[in-house]
Amino acid sequence: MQANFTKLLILFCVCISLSATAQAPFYNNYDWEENPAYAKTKFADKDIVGVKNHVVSEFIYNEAGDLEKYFVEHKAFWLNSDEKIEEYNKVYIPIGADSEIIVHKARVINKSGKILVLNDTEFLTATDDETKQSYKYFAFEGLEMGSFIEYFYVEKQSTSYNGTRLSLQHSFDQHDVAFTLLSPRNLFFATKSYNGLPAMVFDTLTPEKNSWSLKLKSIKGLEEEEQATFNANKQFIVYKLDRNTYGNRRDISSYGQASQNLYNFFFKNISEAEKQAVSAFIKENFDPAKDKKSLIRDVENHLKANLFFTEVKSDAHENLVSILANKIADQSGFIKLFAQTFKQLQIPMEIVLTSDRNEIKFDPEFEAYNFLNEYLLYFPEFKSFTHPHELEARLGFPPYELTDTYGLFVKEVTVGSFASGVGEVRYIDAVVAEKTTDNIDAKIVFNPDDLSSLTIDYRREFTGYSASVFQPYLGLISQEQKDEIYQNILDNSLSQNIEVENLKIENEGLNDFGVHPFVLQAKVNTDDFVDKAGNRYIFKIGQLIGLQVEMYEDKLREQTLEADFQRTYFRTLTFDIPEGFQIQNLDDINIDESFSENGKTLMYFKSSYAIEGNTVTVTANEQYNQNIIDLSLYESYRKVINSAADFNKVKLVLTPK
Amino acid sequence: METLLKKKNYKILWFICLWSGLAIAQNSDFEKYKAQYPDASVVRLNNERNVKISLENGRLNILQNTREEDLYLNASAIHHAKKSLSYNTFFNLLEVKASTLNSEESGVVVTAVKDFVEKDELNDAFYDDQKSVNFILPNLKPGSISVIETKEQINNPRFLNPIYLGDAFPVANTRIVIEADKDITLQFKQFHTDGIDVKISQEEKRGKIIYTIESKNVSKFSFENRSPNSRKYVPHIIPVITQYKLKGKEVKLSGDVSNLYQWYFSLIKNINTQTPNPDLVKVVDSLLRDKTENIDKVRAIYYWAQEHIKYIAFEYALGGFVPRDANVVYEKKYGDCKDNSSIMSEMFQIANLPGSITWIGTRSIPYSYSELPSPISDNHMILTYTEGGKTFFLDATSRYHPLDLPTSFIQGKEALVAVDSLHYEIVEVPVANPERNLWIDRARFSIADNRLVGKGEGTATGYQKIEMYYQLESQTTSQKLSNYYRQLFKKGNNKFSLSNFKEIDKFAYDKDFHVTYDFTIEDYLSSYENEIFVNLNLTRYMQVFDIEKDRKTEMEFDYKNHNEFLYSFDVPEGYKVTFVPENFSLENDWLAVEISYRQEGQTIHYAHKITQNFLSLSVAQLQELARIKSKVEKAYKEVVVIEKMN
Repeated sequence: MQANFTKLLILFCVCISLSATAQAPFYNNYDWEENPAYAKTKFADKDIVGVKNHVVSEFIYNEAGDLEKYFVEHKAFWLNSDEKIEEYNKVYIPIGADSEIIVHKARVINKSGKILVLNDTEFLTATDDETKQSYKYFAFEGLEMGSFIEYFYVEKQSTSYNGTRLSLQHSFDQHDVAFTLLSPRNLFFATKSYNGLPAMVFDTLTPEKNSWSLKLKSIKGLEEEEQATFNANKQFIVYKLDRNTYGNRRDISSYGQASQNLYNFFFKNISEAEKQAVSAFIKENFDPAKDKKSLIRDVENHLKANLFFTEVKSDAHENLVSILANKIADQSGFIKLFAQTFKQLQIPMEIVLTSDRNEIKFDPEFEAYNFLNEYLLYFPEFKSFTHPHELEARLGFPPYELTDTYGLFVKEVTVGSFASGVGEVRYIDAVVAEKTTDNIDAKIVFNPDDLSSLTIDYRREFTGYSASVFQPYLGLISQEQKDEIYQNILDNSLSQNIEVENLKIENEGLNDFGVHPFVLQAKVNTDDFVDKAGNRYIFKIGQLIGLQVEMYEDKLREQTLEADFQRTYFRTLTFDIPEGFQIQNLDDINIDESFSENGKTLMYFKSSYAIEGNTVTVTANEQYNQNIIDLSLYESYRKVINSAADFNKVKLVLTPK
Repeated sequence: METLLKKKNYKILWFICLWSGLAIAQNSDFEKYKAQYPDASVVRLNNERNVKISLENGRLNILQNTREEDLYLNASAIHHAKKSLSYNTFFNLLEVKASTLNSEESGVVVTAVKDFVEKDELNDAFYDDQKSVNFILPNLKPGSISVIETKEQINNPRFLNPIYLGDAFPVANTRIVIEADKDITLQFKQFHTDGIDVKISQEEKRGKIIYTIESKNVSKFSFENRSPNSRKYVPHIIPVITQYKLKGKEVKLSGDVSNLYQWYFSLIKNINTQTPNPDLVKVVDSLLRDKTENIDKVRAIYYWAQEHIKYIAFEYALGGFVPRDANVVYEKKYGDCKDNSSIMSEMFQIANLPGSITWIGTRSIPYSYSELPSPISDNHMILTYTEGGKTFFLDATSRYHPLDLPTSFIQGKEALVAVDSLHYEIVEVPVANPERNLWIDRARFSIADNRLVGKGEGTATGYQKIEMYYQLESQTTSQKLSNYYRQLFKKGNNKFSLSNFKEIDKFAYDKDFHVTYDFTIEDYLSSYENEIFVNLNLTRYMQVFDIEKDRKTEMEFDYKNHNEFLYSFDVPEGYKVTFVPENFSLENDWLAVEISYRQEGQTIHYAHKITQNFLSLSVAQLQELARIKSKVEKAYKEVVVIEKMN
């Protein structure tokens, strides 16, 4: 994806070359130390330690005056467990399209100090012509517990300089970490360090090249935490070309030009044949007289049902004539078809570029193309997003990992007869909690002959992201597969031991998701919710809301907690107290936990009951209006989460009157 | 490029179809098959294969053409567009053609695939020769038919493709024609073809023998969680070239086990002919130091190999069959099953111990050597050692296996044991008893502050222990480890909290593994006035058997096992026991379940024991298991009542 995007952007910047004399690249003299110092270090109580992590990125003019990029990655690790040996004994170096590995070396240094250097023939290559990706791969030989492995390679990479992210932190501790960025005298890079990593320093002592560097004695490992965005939280650097003193060009990697290029590709540079194909496609399939929102949905549903999405690179997968003829498109093809269809239908649509917030947080302060990884479509008239080809995404419900973060919005602006593309960085709001619901309505009847057996009229309703994992697929699968899903929903939320008498499903069509709630209704017989103690019965009412996520363990939290999406749960459970019995602990039902900030309730769980005659109505409602839970809010969040888990354990004791 | 064939050009279409050997389905077929297979997304209309086996220049030349026609029945059609055909050194893909046929008002529109893209397949094996050709079928929609044709060369006559008559989708027609020179003898081994409409016929034409296999309307097969390998239930026929005549002489290929063994032996006879690496000799010497009994020496070498040779698989051409030299394996410290067998074999030689290279199929392969004396019958290599009439099966690709316990995935399988260049033995690997694979959780607890509070100890042996060891390897931080044990010992509810765990003999090969721990469970008890209700069924083991109600295939398990949950509840001072549930037990040939309560003074001893004496359960047995489960779960609901004394 990124490679594809880069291709779209690269067009404008080729002429930064300077007719300077070619210099010798850094890697010419690069090698490992014959007898590395790390090999004498001792590490206790660890299964792996990074002992060297040196990266050099060099931009350099070749003899023809073209800019080239050389990338050196040099790593060494100490391995001290079978698991780590098995994880690290094979190394796969991915090589992107237009790149090649020109030097590679690998060795093992054993506990006894014996050095085993890998033969050249032990480096294997695998290629994939579909993705244009290839791999250089090898296995370390002679590894045993306590061995060091070391390898480095030099890759001549495609010369992209508009934004590169380099992650330097691992899940384990590292020593001797360094990154050096080199460029010709006329090219100035801007760099930014993230997540507490120190800034890079410009080296004024290297006269023939520009040099920035970061040298660290050690970097502590970042432990993976549940519901934390591990990859985004790792310490990393972003570097981008900012200035070319030759020609005095500034802001080279800003989003202005990127927006224009995207605009040209998706909106402007469309052939007449393509326009005609789109026009025929609209005529054949859509009714332009419909209201705009329905029309957007029609187009989206049609494309997602009839076009095959592929990651295989081919011009045919981006050309609208062949896409409409063959029904195969790649991501750019999908976006282009959406853009052209809505342009002809005169429905404003913006293209949004952002990043998966689990991988990297889009930085609104530092414009660099490495933040432009994922696409969304935005319809400003409805303030709604969708994704160009994901089946699970429909208007109003873009992939949640691409929301609650910033993005670059690119739109067409027309002044008179002149149209151009304008980009703006804005926040992509998360979809509000009210739109993602998982509601239960259960009417419970005790079997008069055996109070430990229940009949439940059960109604479950899902909307939004609670439904997105299955509802969009129901129209594509067989009845048999659907029944399996429905059985699973009942098994997981009620019990494996249920007899389903009468199952009714609403809204399992191909285009229901995002518009109509998925509803499952069933009459269920079960004896799983009542325990028996002589002539008393223990009614495990809490279990009727299903097992809840819990955070009972008192763990020291270090990273911000991030939920996938905002969400709501409304449950109503109704039952009649059986004749001749009483319940004295109904008050156990009452739980009330919430957290508010500036007068706004950010999250709550509240359960209570009402009794009328013999009929008890229990409500247990829960809502989360915020995804990103800062450490200062963590305890409050935990309390609310645990309240729901506590409710799950509420048991009512039925005793004879 | 789209080829539009107007109705008036129907003859041309007809010609094309004849040329490719088949008529395409009509529109009416779409409705017919939709009605016939309402639960299918795809029907294979035709599965055709044409194999020509001839003797050329003293070698068997095998060429095959295949043609698959699929009809797409519903809205999922588009999601079947991506196709991938794999090939390797033994199985060469010479040509691929693919197209989509759609019935339009104007006639049948044929759209051919133009882009075929190659890929190296990086699969489980680190180094192999697996490649694939990939393409996308254009214009797929309900009612579309796709046609994929290939031309292939089979480079090893021992690897004729099995003919599967059924698949995950219905197969309307299968027609396989094998044309062989008269001097070539073929056998057809049938598996699970009972109840299938299949015909095998044979005729002689122009000095060739033509075998035809035909079947019709085979319904789709289900592939479920823990289903056996498709070889165990999907109908198939394996063609085997048993022998051929070359210059008047019979060349035996796969007629009986000795033919197979001779070929196998030829692949191993030239390994380990060099002098062993002195360092390897040193390793063996150090392992044997202080050991006098052969069995102890064998054990030491076996455990060393398990620990020191890491598993990396190699399947490049014949490299998938030939072990590498022990010296190489020793230098690299990694290898696959063959390499592990090779180095152990050499270490045995150094130690002057008799060890035999042994071929074996894992449990995914159901064929015995006598019914199918072909390399298709196995996929694995180990070393065997026999002493006092007892054979030990040494599979060093895993870790933590004590000498007496073979890897679980070869239990019950035939092993082909090399004796010398001419002789072999077939020995059956035993299946470990349930009692060899124990999980016992003992706990003693009482009530404090309305919580259950106590101490426990878990004990694991056999495969249960090995499985835990593997899981424990990845619990690399104290946080992960305590979380692991919390989940493992969790009882009552998820407010179970565990502390002070202590591991005893962790990662030991021959000793049992113990973990002791302290625990509390909150919000578990119910009370009413002076009574407290305690459900001692804190671990509801039977819940592991979550079986789909309309299960269609048998279910496989890794090993037999026995589990015990032994809980002693100390009734608090001032309370008396007013109700203890009845004991429960249930037993058949393959499962025994017991729940018992015994009061001893102020203590109630609870025991829940489960013996699983099976490696697989048929559909009928699974239904029986579901019935048993619901009975046990009823017993799980029984509660102990204690009452405060005035």
